[in-house]
Amino acid sequence: MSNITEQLKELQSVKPKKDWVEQNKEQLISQITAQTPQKQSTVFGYWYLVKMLVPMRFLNFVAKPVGIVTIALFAVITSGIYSVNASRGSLPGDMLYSVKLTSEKVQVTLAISEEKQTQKHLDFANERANEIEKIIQQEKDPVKKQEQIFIAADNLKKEMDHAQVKMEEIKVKVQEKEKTQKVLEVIKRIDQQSEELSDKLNEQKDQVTENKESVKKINEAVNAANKTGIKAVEVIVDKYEKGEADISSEEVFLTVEKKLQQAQDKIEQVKEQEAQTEELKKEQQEETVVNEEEPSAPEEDSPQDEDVSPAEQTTEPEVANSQTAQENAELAKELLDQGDLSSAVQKVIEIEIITSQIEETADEADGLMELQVVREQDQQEEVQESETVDNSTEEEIEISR
Amino acid sequence: MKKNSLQEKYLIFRIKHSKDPQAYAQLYDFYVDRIFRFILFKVKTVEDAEDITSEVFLKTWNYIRTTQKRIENLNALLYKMSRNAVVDYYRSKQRTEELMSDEDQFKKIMRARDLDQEIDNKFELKNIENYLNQLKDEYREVIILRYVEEFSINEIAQILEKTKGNVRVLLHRAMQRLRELMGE
Repeated sequence: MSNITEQLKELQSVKPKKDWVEQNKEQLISQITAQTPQKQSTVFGYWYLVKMLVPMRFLNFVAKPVGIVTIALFAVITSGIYSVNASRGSLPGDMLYSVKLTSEKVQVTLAISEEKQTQKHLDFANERANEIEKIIQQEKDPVKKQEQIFIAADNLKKEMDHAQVKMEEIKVKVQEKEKTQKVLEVIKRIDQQSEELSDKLNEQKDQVTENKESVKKINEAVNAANKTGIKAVEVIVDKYEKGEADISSEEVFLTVEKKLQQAQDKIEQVKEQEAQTEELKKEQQEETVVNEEEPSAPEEDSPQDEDVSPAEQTTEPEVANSQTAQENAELAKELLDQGDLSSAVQKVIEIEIITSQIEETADEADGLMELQVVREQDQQEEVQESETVDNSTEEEIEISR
Repeated sequence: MKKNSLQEKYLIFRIKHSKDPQAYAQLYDFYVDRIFRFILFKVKTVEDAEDITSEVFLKTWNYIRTTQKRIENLNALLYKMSRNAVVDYYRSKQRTEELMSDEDQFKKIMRARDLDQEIDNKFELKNIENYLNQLKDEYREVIILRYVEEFSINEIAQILEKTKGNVRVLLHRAMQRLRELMGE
């Protein structure tokens, strides 16, 4: 057996003639060189090289799955990015709106420093205001309009709350002078931005005066923006008084004075509102008396009574409130003149609380009265309908005779 | 250069990608002797073996150049192409296998070889080739691949496109037959 294998092995000596080998080779080369070379794209070329060099098993079980997973991940991430981008223009009520809000939250988290986060909140509050603008222009359906404004304004308020919380943190935490300087720049900017925001919202409010609910909501947003601005000033004053900020006393003084002025303007505004609400309530009280004489709609009386009595009760404190606000304003002026800036700011804060309260109550009352008016109208329609029914049945009876 | 080595794969890449004739020339140098021998044992005449060998190399060039498939094993590819070429050759020429006398065979083989080969062995070689030729093609083929070319069972399986088990059985039977013929 081994003999055979040895013998067989020796057959390896069988070889072609060298001459022939050379000749054939030349022939072969000339034949193949004669063929016109086609250019392949380099990308595929290198892929072939890789394919050549890498054993197939690896390619199939490791490289390809890895490649596929990577592409899949990439696709998911890109579509995520795409939908985030697409969500930019979305409004409350749109499907992508929640994506928008989420991406905003992510952006806040990514902004590492507190002042940057505060800035982000301001930016997004501004975005909410823009949304409201768009809603007012685009949305025709009044119900949807109101809902959407509600959502946008509500979210705006939230942003303002976040901003205020952040600024409180800044006030407490940031103390080194260099850092404070940078932060202060941002805070000043925030004050400015919140003013602009207020103005914007007020303009929008004028465009939806017919819808009391929306007006009410937007007012809340305005107040939130104002509060943010005041907070910013509070931080500035705090840093100034502690000596942590490089800011002139004149600048701080002017800033506080400006806020005080704004607060006083607000007092004037709510005074008017108060007066109007008073008027409306008085009219309503008279009507209630008239309505009680009619047999129909006994149910309407009780809510009206409820409206009237609390209104009577709150009439006095409300007037007192705006008066209180006024008193506070005067106190603040004195403190400012004395140079006690932080106390002045505290007064301004109190004024803001009072004025927003007044406004809120006024808006509530407005809203309720509107509701009543609507109910009364409905009620009247019912009465008319029942009359027509009576008439028609009478006719029928006549005909049947 | 070893077969199926990285170097070989690189050469194949160059052929595919840049149609490099010199790369192919290197592959030719590496494989020509073996392919020739393989074909010679099948067709028995030197002229035919030469013709078929050149044909195989040309065909392989074209195949590498144009195929979309990945070339795992050039070695197996060349042998497969050789087998196919031999089959085609037989079909086209419609030859019948000639039974040759020992002497004719001997002369033929000597013509094919370099004359500075070891002459001592020639009788024994002659014998075994004689017996090999008496085997059926299948048996001869597998014996050549295993003991002359010294391929592994795996490699032979790839060339013949059979399973490893088949190859082992085939080889075993082939060797048995050869032994019978040789009267052991």
